[in-house]
Amino acid sequence: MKTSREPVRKPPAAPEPAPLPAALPEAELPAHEREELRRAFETQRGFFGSLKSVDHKVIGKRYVITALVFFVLGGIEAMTMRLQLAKPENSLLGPDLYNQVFTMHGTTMMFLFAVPVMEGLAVYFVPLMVGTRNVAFPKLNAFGYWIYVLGGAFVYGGFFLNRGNDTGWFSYVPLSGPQYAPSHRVDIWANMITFTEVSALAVAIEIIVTAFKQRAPGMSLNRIPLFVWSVITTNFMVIFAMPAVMLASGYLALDRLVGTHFFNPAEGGDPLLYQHLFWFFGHPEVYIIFIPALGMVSTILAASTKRPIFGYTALVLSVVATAFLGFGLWVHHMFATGLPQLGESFFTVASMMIAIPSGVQIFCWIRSLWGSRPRMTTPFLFVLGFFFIFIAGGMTGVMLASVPFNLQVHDTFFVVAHFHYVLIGGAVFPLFGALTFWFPKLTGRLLSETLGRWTFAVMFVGFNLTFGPMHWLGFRGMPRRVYTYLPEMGWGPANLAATIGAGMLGVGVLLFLINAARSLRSGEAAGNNPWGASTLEWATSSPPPPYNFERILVVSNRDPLWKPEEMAVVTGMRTDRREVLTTRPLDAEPDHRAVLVGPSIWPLFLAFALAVGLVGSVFTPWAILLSGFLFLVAMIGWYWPKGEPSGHNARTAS
Amino acid sequence: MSRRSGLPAAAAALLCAALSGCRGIQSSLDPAGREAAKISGLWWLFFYVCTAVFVLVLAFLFYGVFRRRSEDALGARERGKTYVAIGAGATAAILLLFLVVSVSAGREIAEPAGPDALKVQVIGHQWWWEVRYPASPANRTVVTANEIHVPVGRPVFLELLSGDVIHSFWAPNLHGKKDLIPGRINSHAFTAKKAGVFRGQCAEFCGLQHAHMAFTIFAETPERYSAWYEKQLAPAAEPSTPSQERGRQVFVSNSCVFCHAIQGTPAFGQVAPDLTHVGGRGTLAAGSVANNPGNLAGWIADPQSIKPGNHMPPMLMAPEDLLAVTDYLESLK
Amino acid sequence: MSSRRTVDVSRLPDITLDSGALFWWATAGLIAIEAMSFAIIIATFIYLRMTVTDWPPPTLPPPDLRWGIAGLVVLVISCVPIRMAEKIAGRGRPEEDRRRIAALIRVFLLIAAVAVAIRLLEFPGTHCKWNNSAYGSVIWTTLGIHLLEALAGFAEFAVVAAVLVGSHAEEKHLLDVRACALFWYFIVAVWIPLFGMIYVFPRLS
Repeated sequence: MKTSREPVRKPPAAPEPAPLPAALPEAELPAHEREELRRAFETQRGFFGSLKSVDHKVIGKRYVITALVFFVLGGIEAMTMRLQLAKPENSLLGPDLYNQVFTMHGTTMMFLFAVPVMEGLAVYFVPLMVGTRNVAFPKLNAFGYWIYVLGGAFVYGGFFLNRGNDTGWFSYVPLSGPQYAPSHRVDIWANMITFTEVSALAVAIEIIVTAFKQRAPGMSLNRIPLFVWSVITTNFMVIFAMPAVMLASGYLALDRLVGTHFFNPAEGGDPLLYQHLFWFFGHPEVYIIFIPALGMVSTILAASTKRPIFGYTALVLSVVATAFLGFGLWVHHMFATGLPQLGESFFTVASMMIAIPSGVQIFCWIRSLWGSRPRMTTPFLFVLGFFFIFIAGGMTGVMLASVPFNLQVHDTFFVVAHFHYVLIGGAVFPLFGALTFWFPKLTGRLLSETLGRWTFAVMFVGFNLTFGPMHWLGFRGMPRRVYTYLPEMGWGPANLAATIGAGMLGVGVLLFLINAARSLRSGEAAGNNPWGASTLEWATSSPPPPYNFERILVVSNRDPLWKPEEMAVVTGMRTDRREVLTTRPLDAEPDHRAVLVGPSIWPLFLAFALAVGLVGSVFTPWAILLSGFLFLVAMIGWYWPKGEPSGHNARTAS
Repeated sequence: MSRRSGLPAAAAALLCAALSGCRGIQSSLDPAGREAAKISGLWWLFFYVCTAVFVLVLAFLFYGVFRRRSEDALGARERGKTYVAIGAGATAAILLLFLVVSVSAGREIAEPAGPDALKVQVIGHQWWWEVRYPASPANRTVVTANEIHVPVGRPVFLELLSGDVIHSFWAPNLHGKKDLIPGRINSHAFTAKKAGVFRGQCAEFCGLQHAHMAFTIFAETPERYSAWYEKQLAPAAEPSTPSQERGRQVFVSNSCVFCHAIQGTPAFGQVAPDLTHVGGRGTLAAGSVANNPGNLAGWIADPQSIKPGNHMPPMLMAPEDLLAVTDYLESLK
Repeated sequence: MSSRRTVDVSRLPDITLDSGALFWWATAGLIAIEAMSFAIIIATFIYLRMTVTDWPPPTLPPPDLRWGIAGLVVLVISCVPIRMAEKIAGRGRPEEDRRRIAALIRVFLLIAAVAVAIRLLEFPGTHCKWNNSAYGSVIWTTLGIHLLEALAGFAEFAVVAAVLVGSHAEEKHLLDVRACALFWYFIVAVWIPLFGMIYVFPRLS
C-alpha cells in the first residue's frame, strides 16, 4: 500500500497496445486464401441453409437469444406471481394456476434460461478465446441446440394448454407420483428434463474437448483465460451432475407410466431417494450456473483495470475446489427431513467450507482492483453490483449450512431471498455485464453507455427492493410456494414492496432489450477490441468471420493482446477445408490437423426423432418404436459419407 | 374478501395483542420455546458477525476502486498475496466459529425428550392436520384437528406421520420445521417457555391448498392444559335445543358421516377432521377462516369457494337444515 | 524475422489413432457420463437395500445364477475378438487390414448376439417383475438399461463392419474401431459391479 520503500513500476501491461493487424501483419492471409477459407466455413444461405448451420457462433447466438426469450417468459411468470402476492387474499391467480406458474418459473429459469445461456456464451466464446475455428463436434453442437429448443417448446406447449406441471420445479414425490398427480402435467415436465439434460451433456463434451484439444499453440494450461477455465469446470460438473437428475426423472417416469415402485414406501421404495438424487444434481446445478459467471467477473475486471487479474492460480484452484465441494452439499436441502445428526454435521462442514474458495476469489478480485483506477463502464458496474449482492447472498448461504438455523428458514421466503441473491447477484448481474461487454463482439456495435447505466441502476435497486424484504418475510413465518396469505399475518406491506421491486427489475430488463435493439440498428461501430481487452476473441473482427481467425495465433503468455509483439502465427494450414489445429492438452503443442464436419440437416432431424419419442411416450408407448425407427434413419444420415470438395481427405469428427 | 371482512381479522389482531403483545404469532424472531430461543440466538450472532464482515469487505472494495494512487509494484503484488491469505484465514476462522456454535446448538436442540415428555402424534393430510394424544388405556386417547394444546414448561415429543404426500410441521415461535414423510415416522421435540397462542403452517409444498394448511398451538399452564384434555375425552355434547337436535339428525343421515367422526354419535368417518369438539376450535379448514356460525355454514354449503380444491364436496341441503347443522356443530364445544 | 514469428504445421498428420484424436475424447466423455449414470444406479441399489429389512423381499429367491454367470462369461469373451481387431487397427493400414478387422468384428457380433440372448433369459430369471416391488423395479431397470447400452455398442460395431467391408475404408474408420472398442470394454467392465449388485448382493444377507 505504501510506496515509499519500493520503486513504483509501471503496470506490466502497456496502457494502449497497438491494435493487432498493425502489430502482427503475419496474421493476415492473402485475399484468395481468405476467400477460400470463408467458403469452407460459411453457413449456407437461405432458410434451409440456416437450419443446417454448424457454426459455433451461429449456434451460440441462437442459444443466447432463445435463453433470453425464456428469461423474459420466466420473468413474466415471476411478475405474475408477485402481482398475486402483492396483497393478501388476492384473486388474480387461483391456486391451480399459481402452482403451474411458480413451477414454470423455476423450471424455465433453471433449465431453459440459466444453464443454456451460460452454455450459449461458452459455445460462442470458448473457440474464440482459445483461438480455434469451431467446436470439436459441430453437428453434436447443432443437435444440442435443437433438442434444447424443442424441449422448451414442448413444456411451454403443455403450459399453454393448461398442462403445466403444478408440483414445483423440484417435483417431489409422492406429490408428483402417479397417485397424486394423475394428469399428463408431470409427464411432460419429466420428459422435458431429459431434453435439456441431453443438450447440456452434448455441450459439455464438445466444450471440454475444444478447450483441451484445440487451444492455440502455446496456450498451456496455465495460460487458459479464466472464463474458459470456469466453463471447463462447469462442464465437468455437468457430466457428473446431470445423470442424477436424468435418473431421478427417469425413475419418476417409470413409476408413473409402467408402475415401478422406486418411490413408493408401501412396496419398498422411498420418497427420500428422489430428493437425494434430485439435490445431488440440484445443488451442483447452482454452481453450474454460477461458476461461468465467476469467469465473466474475472474477464470484465481484467479488461476494466487493463492489467492482469491478481492471483490467477488461486482463482483457478478456487473454482475447481468450488466444483468439488459443490457435490458434497446436497443434503443441506434436506435437513428438515430428519436424517441422522452426524451426517447432517458433515454436510454443515462441507457447506460452510465452500465459502473459503469463494472468499479467496473475492479477495483476489479486490486485490486486482486495488488502486487500478478501473473504467466505470456498464459491465464494470454490473460487477460492482455482483460484489454487493453476491456477498450478501453468500453470507445467508453460510447461515443456511447451520442445521438449527436452516430448520427455521428452510422453505420460507428467507430461502427465496437467499438463492435469488446468489443466482441473480452471482450469475445474472455478471451475465448482463458480460452481455454488455461482449455485445460488440457479437454484433459489431457498442451498447449505449447511458442506457446501460440506467439499466444497471434500475435493476440493482429493483432487485434489492424485491428480495431484501423477503428475508424478513421468512422470519415472520411466510412459507414458500403459497398462492395467498391471510391479511392478519402482517405480510402485506413487505410483499407489496417486493412486487414494486419486481416491476423495477422488469423495467431494467426492458431497458436492456431496448438498448440492444437500438444499438443493433444504430449503435456505434465497435472495432476489433473496444475495451482494450487481452484475450484472443478480441484479436479478430467484430463480429468474427465464419472461420474466426485468418491464421491461428500462437500465444506465449496469459494476456496475448497486451503484448502483441510476443505473438506469432501458425502457417501451413489448409484453407480449402474445415481444418482445425489440435494441440496437446497440457502444453498446447501442435498435435495434428483435424478436419471438422460441414453443414448438415441431420442434427435437426435427430433432435426431431428424439422429440417424437419423448413427447409421444407421454401418450402412448408406441411412440418409442416410431422414435427408434426415426433415430436409426437419423444416425444413418448423420454418418453417411459425403462427397466433399476435399475428396478422400474429408474426415468427420463427430 | 367480504365473507371474512372485519371479524376474523379483528379477532386475530385482538388475539395477537392480548397474548403476545405486538409480536408475531408465526415468527422465528419472537421465540416462545426453548428451541426457537436457541435458534434465534444463533441468528443474531450470525447477523452481527456477517454484517460486520459485509461492511468491511465492501469498504475494502470501494476503497480499492476509488483509491487514486495506482499501485502495481512488484512488492505490492507480493503483499497482495499476504492479504489474500489473511483474508482466507479470517474467513476460515469465522466459519469455524459458526460451525462450533451451530453444532453445539444443534446438539442441545436434538437432546431426546425425557420420559415425562408429552407425546403427541401429528398426521399430515392434504390440507389439514390430524392431532392425536395417544394414551395407554386407548379410551383416554384424544383426537382433534388443526389445534395442539401443550403445557408450558413440559417437553413435547411429536411423532410426525403423513397420510398422503410430504408435509412439513412448522411453528416458528417454538421450533424449526420437520417433514412429515409417507412411510416414515419423524420425531420432533420442543418445550414452550411462555404461554401464548402460536400459529404454524405447512412448510413443504403439498399441492393445491398448501397455502391454507395452518394450525394453532395453545401453550397453556399445566392446569388449563389438563382441563382442556379432560374436556376432550368426553364424547360430543348432547343437543340442548330442538334446532341442535335436528342438526345432529341431518348430520348423521347425510354423507358427512362417511368422512367425519363425532364421538357419541354414529359418525365414525376417518378421512376428515374429527368434529367431536369442533365448536371449541378457533378456526375452520386448517386456519383458513375464523370459526363462527356464518363461516361454518358457508363452509358446509360451498367449501370449494373458501378453499378451492380441498377434498370436501359441497353439501346440498335445505337452508333450514344447513342452519340446524351449523347450530349443532357450533354447540360441540 | 518472419520465421521467428510463424509456426509451420503443414507437416503435421491429418489424423491420429491414439488418445490424441478428437473422437477418442468424445468416446471418453460419453463413457464418463455413462459411468456416472451406472454409479448412481448402484447408489440407488444400495439406498433401496438400506431402507428395507429383506432383500430380496421375503418368499422371493435371489435371481438365477445360471444365466447370470453365463451372460457375464460371454460378455468377457466378446472382448477377445475386439481386442484383436483393435490391435490390428492400430497399425493404421486401412486397405490391407480392413477385411481381417471386419472378420473379427463379425465373430464379435456373433458372441455379442449370444450375450443379448442370454440377457433376455436373465429377466425371467429374477423371479419377479418390475411392478412387484422396489427390488424388482431396480433390478429390471438395471438389466434393461445395460441391455440398451449393449445393443448400442452392438449396433455401432455392425455399422463399422459394414463400412469396412464396403469400398470406402479410410484411416478414420480404424479410429472408429478403436473408439467403439473402448466403449465396448466399458460396457463389459461396468457389468461386473452390476452383476455383483444383482446376483451376489441378495445372497449376502
